[in-house]
Order: sequence, then structure tokens, then C-alpha cells
Amino acid sequence: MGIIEFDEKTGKPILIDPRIFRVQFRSSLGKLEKYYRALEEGRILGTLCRECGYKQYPPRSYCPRCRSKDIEFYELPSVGRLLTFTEVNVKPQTHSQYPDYIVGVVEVDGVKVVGHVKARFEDLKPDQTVEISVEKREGDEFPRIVFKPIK
Amino acid sequence: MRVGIASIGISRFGRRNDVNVFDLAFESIEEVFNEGFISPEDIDYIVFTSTGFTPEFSPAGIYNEYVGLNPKAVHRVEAACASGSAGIYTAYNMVKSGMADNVLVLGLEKMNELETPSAVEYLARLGSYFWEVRDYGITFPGYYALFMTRYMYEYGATEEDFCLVAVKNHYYGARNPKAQYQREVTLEMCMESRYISRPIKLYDCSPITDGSAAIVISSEDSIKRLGVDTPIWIEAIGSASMPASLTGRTSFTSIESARLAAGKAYQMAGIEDPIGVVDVATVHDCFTIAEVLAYEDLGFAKPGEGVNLIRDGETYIGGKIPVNLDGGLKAKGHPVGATGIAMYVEIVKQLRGEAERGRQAPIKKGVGLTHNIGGIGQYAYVSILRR
Ligand SMILES: [Zn+2]
Repeated sequence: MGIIEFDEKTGKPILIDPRIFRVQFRSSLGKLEKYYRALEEGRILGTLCRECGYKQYPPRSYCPRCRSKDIEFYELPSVGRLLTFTEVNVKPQTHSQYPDYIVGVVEVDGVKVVGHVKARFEDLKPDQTVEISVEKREGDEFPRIVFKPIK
Repeated sequence: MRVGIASIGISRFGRRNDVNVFDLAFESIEEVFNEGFISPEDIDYIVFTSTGFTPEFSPAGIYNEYVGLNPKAVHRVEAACASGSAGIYTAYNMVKSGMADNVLVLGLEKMNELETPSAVEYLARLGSYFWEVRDYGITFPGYYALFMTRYMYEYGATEEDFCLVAVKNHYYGARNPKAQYQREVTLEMCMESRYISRPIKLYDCSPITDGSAAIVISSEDSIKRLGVDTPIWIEAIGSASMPASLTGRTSFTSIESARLAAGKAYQMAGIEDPIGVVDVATVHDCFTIAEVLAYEDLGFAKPGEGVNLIRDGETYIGGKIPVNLDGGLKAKGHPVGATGIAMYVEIVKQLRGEAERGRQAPIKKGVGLTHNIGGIGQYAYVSILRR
């Protein structure tokens, strides 16, 4: 046992860094505080420009169309259309503890929302109608947006 | 004053832990200078392109030292998987402005320096982390799988159709001695491979690759002075962007920024229809769906008809427009920060007539194209090269 190890595929010598660099980000929320407070209560907020009526999701504190800062939060409707989806089988390190999950993109009231689809992959079809809600995954503190197909 | 390419170099691609990361960079640099037209003293500036994957967070200076280019100035350019083209764009403008005569662009990624789950995480974080990766665990195969699902639904394409892209690109990878996978695959092997992000399967994906590529971008005067025997000219670089986030997309069957970049490049080069004009193209096939989208975004086929090009074998040599004769990202490999430069290296080889047996396109008009996408279109570059 020395400091040199060997790559499992090529057998070539490698040095495994014994020092692990732990990275954790702290994201300042600013006006997004309101979005996350609502999400904890099960509501999903978008933003609406009071000047020109432009709707946005995810929320933003100014309007990219007219640059107005006169913005209000509004609650997204709870029924939308599933545009597309994929079942993630090989997961990133930070999601490796979960069983395979389906990520979908849903169009609702002119904006698009990303979330997890609760269904079997085989049963899904683009353009089908879904119910949009918020829930916590077993063992998770973080609320997530979920889509459930409406029969 | 035209801007052209004085010299090229590329390392062997693969799981390259037979060399350390610095020697991997040197493999390309060595080829550049061994071509015999340019020497380190001729270089005015170095643009380094990489997304990271190294323990050093500012690698440009360290590589520049190792490959022996001090005191020439250097900086890094980053645009995810399009970093290489972004670096070439920067170098082109340095030369075009007259600030430099010869700029070396060096691209490098040694992705196997990270263990696979970390590499998957690293790649995913080239996307929109805050809204999409953190809470929903989307990956890069996942991003493109969303396009594949929608494309199959709208146009009736099948998983088999996309596997045909893998079969083609492995066919040419088998003829490229620098490719990561120098072996052919069958439709059955592709179809039987496991899902990575359904409907994308293992054989629909480009691999995790170690590799480097380098190119010298020079002024016309310099190219003449250096006596470059077969100069290749950069006729056009079209570029564009679009929202990185899924929520900002208007289409899941096209990368609109690629369409815009192509339009600009064709206009700059005076090309109306690329079919019959472009002799050979490299397109960003990080996943097989991405190659089909590229056919359409580049105007090789109408929307929904890109899949017919691969079904009919029109992107092989002898077809309407040969694509990815180096094996593409799929079989040659995809060291993300080096890919855009590797594409240029390939087109230069093709236009010079230096590609290996069985993968050299017939060069009739002397025109080649590169299509390099970062993320899912937040960075897009289309270049036209001419002999
Ligand atoms: Zn507005």
C-alpha cells in the first residue's frame, strides 16, 4: 500500500487526492424570498408586469420586455400541459440517493415550469393534461413541484 | 485582410490516464509546431479553452508555463461545450483587429480526472443549476432527452432512427486513429444498451473524454510570410445565444440559437443553400438527437425531415452532405472545452485532403462547416472554412 493507485479500466497509475474539497453554496434570495415562502405553503408563484402584462416563471424582479420594476407575484393555475419529459436513470452525484425520477416541462398559462412527473414513463405522452402541485419527497426538507397526469 | 489557419494539432482522445494533464496539452502543442510553419516565437497570444475538471481554478497560466510559452500572454475563454469555438472567435477578432498576427488557441479537458458521478454532476452544472439541477436533478443527457421525447412525438421518429447516427459515427470513428472508440457498432448493440436518461441510451451519448486540440489563427500576411502551404481561411463565424433554462424555450424540436448562428454564417459567407456547397461538416453530436437537430438547424433538411437524412444514409461519404467523418463527439470523444477546436482541426484536415483512408470526403467546392453548441444552445457557433 503506497500512495499510488491504478485506474480500474486502464490500469495506469493515478494519485487519489486525499484532501476532499467540500463546496456548499449560500444563495442570496432577495425578492425570491416570497417565492420560497409560498412554495413551502404549497403555492407556486410567477411574476406579472403591471406595466405591460408580461408573465414570467421563474419569477424575476423586473420585466425583461419593458424593463419595468413594477412587478407583482401571482399564483400559477394548477392545471397545465406536459410538453416533454425524460426519466433520469444515471443521476448526478447530488441526486444519486434517489430512485429513477421523471423530469418534465409543463406549459401553464403562457409560462413553462420544470418539475417531477409522478407516473410510469410508459404511461406518459407529450401534450397530456397534468395537475401541478408541491410536495416534499420522502426524507427531503426541500419542497418540489410535481405533475400528475389527469385521466 | 483574410484570417486563416496556419497550423493544427490534436491529441489522441480517450481515457487518457497514461499521461498527466499537462502532457495531454503538450501533445497538441507538439503537433502544431511539428507542422513546421510556426514556432513559439511567432505566437503573440494564447487563448486557453476549458470548462474546468482540474483541481486548479485558473489553469490557463499553469498550462502556458508547462508548454513553454511564457512570457506570451494568455487567458481562458469558457462557453461550456462551445468553449473551443468561443476561443477561436476571440482569436479571430484579435487577428482581425490587428492586435495580433498569430494567436494559439489551446483547448483541453481531462474529464476522467474526476470520478464518474462527480463528472456527471460537473456537466449538469454547466446547465441552469439553481432552478433545474438542484431540485430536479436534470443531467445533460436529460436535457437532450427532453428534445428527443418531443421530436419523436411530433415527427414519428423512433429510437432506432437515432441509433443510426451512432452507427454512422462509430463507422467513421473506427477509421480515425485519434478517436476514443475506434470500433464499429451495430444497430442492435445501440438498441440493447441501457437507458441513461430515457429515451436516451448509452450508445446515444458521447463519452467522458480526455483530450486536447490546438490551432493557430493568423493574418493573411503572416500566413504568407510563414509559407503555410495549404492555408485554410475562416470565411465566417456566426454566433448566437438563447435562454439556458428550459422555462425560456419556445421549441423542443430545434436549437434556435444554432439556427440563428447558421443564418449569420451563411450570410457572411454568401451561401444560400448549404447542400451542394458544403463538402463536409462537423456537427455537435453530444447525443444522437443533437445531430438530427443540427441537420435541421443548419438547413440540411427541413424541420421534421432531419431524421430522413440519416435513414437514407445521406450524411455518409457519397451522400448529400457528409457529417462527422472523424467519428463526431459520439465516437471520437467529447473533451468539452477542446471540442470546438477539434472540430476545426478535423475540417482543416478534410479541406487539406489529409484525413485517413476511408474517411476523407471528396473536396469539390473547398468548403467545410463546424457547428458547436454549448449547453442546450445558450452558446452557439457555426463556422464556414474555405480552402
Ligand atoms: Zn413589462
